[in-house]
Amino acid sequence: MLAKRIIPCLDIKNGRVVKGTKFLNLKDAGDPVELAKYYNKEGADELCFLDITASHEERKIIIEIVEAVAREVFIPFTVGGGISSTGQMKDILRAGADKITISTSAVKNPNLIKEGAVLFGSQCIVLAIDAKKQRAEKWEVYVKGGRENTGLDAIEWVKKAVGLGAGEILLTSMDADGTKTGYDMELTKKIVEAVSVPVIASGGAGKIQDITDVFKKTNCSAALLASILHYKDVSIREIKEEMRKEELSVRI
Amino acid sequence: MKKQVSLIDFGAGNLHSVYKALKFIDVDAEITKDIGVIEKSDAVVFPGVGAFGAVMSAIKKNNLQDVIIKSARGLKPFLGICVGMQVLFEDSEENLEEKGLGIFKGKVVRFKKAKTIPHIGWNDSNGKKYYFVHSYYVIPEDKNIIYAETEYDGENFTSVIKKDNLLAVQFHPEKSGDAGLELLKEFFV
Repeated sequence: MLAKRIIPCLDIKNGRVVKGTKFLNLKDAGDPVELAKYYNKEGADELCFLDITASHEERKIIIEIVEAVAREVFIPFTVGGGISSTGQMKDILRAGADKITISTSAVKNPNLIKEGAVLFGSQCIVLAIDAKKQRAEKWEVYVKGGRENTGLDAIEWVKKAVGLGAGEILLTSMDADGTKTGYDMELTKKIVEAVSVPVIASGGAGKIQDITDVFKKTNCSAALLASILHYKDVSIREIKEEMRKEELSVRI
Repeated sequence: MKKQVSLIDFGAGNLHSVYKALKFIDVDAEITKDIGVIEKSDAVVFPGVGAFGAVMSAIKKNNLQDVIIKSARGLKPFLGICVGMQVLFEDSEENLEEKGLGIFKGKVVRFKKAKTIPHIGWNDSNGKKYYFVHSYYVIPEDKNIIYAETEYDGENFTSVIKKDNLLAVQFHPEKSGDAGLELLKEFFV
């Protein structure tokens, strides 16, 4: 049976992993390659690197990181953050990444989804959306790291993106993100029902049960995890053991 | 003596990932479209990502169809991956105009029952979990070549075929962690 995926997300700034490297007993816990190897060994099903580097020159560093990770870690990984052209996509994919996430740039230019899908295949193009509830049954898409409301309806937007060729949806609930009180089940369910491609749930996990809950209550395919792994003493191994106990299909 | 492995280069997206995985397990791999090099090597890998039609036209553009057919039917180890498995068959629902290599009788079809397509993630094949990314799968006419099946959303499909020295897998061993590296090691080392 297809396993529900657990995907750690690592923020990269100036070539270093920032946030939550203090629990890991690694020689250099800020080194993306060391961390990728660590999470691979822990049982991560995929990895996600989010480039939060501000300046243009520093973008070259992410390419070097992708190359270094691809030489030593043999599970799929996704790279996102500020990608706005098929040229950038090509550089990152060629360096060894398997998928690209786009968010703000896709809203600005929806055709980028199509161009990417035609050139590299839909399986390479992950649409990331940050959605925030406006009123009952109504969520809108935010961009620029959640600072700007686009006014786009989240459900309409994901449908359109999948029509253009997005192969997966990475859904972050802005209402749940950072609360550590669990995923936004209602939104996740709606998005999963709206599209035929896999949905990765993100935002709100504070304990292991939140993760097993989102898999049991919605039909999402994967959970993206950041702070629960980085700041809490919860390991991927423990999460997966619990998933197995709850009779979820898991790769251990 | 290390085996000389040719990775057939027709512009497949995952070529470098396969190359890196082979290097990691210390296989002497070479990315090539040189027919002479492919013919001389001890083993051949035929990777593939993307659409059936695009892969077939790239193969033809590089005049590689004969050497692929010869290698696949020959005595050396031959490994087909993903679309590199699919194009060994006759034709695909993905592209009705472009014919496959026709090394095996049978066709490539799209998932019919699954609610979520592509089939992305880790699924079972021969008792282990490997990483899959695909919307189409092969239906071989000769059931004897079916080596492993996988179930996805109520649909069983052929995930590995094996015949003599040929192995072809629908999943990506180069992205399947330790299980994938072990498979490559068993095949090439």
